[in-house]
Amino acid sequence: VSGLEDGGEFDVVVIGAGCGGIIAAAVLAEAGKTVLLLERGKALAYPQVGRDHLRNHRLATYGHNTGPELDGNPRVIESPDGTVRIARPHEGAYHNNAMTVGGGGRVFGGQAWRFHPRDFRMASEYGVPDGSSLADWPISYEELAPYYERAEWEIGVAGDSNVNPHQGARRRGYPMPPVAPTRQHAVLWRGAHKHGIHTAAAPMLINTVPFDGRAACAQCGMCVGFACASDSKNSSHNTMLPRAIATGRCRLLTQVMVERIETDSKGRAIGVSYFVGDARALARARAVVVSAGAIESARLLLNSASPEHPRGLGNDHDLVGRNLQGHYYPGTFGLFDNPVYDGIGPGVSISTCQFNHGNPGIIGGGMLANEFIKLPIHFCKWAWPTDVPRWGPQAKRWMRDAYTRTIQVMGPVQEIPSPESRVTLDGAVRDRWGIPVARLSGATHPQTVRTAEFMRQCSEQWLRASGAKKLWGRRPTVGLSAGQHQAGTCRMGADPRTSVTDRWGRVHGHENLFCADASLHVTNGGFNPVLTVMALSFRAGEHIAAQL
Amino acid sequence: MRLTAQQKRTLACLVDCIIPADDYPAASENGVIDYIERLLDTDLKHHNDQVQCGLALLDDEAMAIHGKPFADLDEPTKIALLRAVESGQDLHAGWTIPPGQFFELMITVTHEGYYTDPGNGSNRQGASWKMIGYDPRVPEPVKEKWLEGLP
Repeated sequence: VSGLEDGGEFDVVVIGAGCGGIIAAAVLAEAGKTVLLLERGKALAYPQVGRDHLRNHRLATYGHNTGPELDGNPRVIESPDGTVRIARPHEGAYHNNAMTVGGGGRVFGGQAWRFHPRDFRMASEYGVPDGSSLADWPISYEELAPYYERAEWEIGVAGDSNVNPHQGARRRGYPMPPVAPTRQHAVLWRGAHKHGIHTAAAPMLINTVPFDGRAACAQCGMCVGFACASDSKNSSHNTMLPRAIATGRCRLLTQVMVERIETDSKGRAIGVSYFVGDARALARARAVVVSAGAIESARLLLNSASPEHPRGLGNDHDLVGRNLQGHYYPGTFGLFDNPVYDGIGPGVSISTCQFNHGNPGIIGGGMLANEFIKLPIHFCKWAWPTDVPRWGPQAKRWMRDAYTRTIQVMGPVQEIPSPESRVTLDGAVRDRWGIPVARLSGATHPQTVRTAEFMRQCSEQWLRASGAKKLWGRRPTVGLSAGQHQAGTCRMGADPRTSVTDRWGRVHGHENLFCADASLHVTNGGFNPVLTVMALSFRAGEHIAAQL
Repeated sequence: MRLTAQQKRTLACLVDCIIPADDYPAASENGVIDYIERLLDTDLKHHNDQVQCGLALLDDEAMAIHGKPFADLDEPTKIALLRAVESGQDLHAGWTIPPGQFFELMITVTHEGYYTDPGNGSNRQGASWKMIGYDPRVPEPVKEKWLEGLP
């Protein structure tokens, strides 16, 4: 490693200032360690994220609001039918996660779920379907519970502190009361009650009262996909990052692209080489934490091959990048006789965890909730029933009559991982720095689709019981799934032959190299995964600090 | 893209068939033409030829059957002609582009222009939002403390 500028020497270099990386950096800095936190994106203020309804992280028709730049950052997508094409960051096939300081947490909706205790032992509970790589986590819910609690209290979650019989035990309630029940909540509550469905307020990383020096949510109608105008959504960037910086021991560099993790002949990480503009630098470290998101973390380990590890770091058994998963999101739209819209954001307010497990003949399941307030253009692009004309007076009448009378119930399905759904390096295509790009290939296991179809039917039943007169939605089909809930590419486990990282997120064979993001997830739960990412990072940060 | 006056006239009639006037504005009255023109200059540059060609063919089609341009047809005749374009059947002009794809694109961009945020140059007074009952109520942005002192 010569000819590089000196990037300094730190106890730890953390790669990626997203939900996971920031927490690891903050915990380490508060424990007295010096930390270099590297982020390829920018720190974007609210006006820079903007309010464009067609160019945001939720609907990226012509661009998005968080990075990376549309040019110079391609991925290669290999479809199940063998066709290969290049995708740009705003296309669905790219499976982007917001690349900016704060990562997905900068623009998420903020559902703050703990995974279910049974989510940590899916293989033991259900057996391993042929062709799947379903496995148990090396840790239990009970082991992660204290860190879930830290995330809930230190980042800030509003939720229903009553006991939920379909969730794991909790020692402590939430620091804030749940989001306000909306008109949709009342309608769906009545239907659930009639149909025997247990409901609870969805826990959200949103201030329902002033918290941590920031205001309560203004309940506006433009939440998920955007930054928060009142800074009332809570994530790592506006809670843990200031804590990290305040120690004086954490240095954040933005617009820095990491090229490689450098290792010595024993496999120990010695530092990280990166681009600042077109210059290259090397920062040395006693430990390295990779928190770049499931796709980019895998890409970086593969791109860091050395003479001793020619297939990439942690990849002696060809496992880095495999088991790529996200969340299928089945759901149903229901049209009601009377308006169900009251404009109270964020919109998600009532949920059920009754179908996460225990569904006869089905592997796993998922949480269901009503959806965020839809922007009009979302409603137009996503909610149009196939039996309604798309142009002419009837089409206009549809938008006018249906928008305030429609509820969508949907939720993330716990995917059954396939080892063939994976991230590899493309042999030919490189990014603007000349680094080989990620190539995504394969598809989820067919059992995922089966569970998703079951959950679609559950959402339909809930809406019907609630009085919806017209019901519509798309049946799920097999495909590659990753997106903003991307996970699984560096799965944890005890055995290096079946996992990439150990129970702490340490990469097997590299004693001072760790992952701290959803790439660790053995399975991705039937829940939005961010609270699990946060909890794992609190835990990893503590562990690494104790090792150094 | 610089549309000719005739293309613009045809475009206005086309988007107004997709979203006609009632007690709320038609597409052309809600900034959709400006929206589409700007899009064809920027993000949809690669569809520029397709749109110009489609608009010309729409007029050719009207001339071939009725002897006058699309904009001069009466409402039922316009709609019947667009149904033919949508389905790709019973067409008389020599369509060099797939007619159904052209029409689908025009529906998509008309909807976008009509229902998107005013920052896109259309729907300036939020007419479509008032019509359907959407009110974003986004508060005045606060100064975000976490950004202080960051690079």
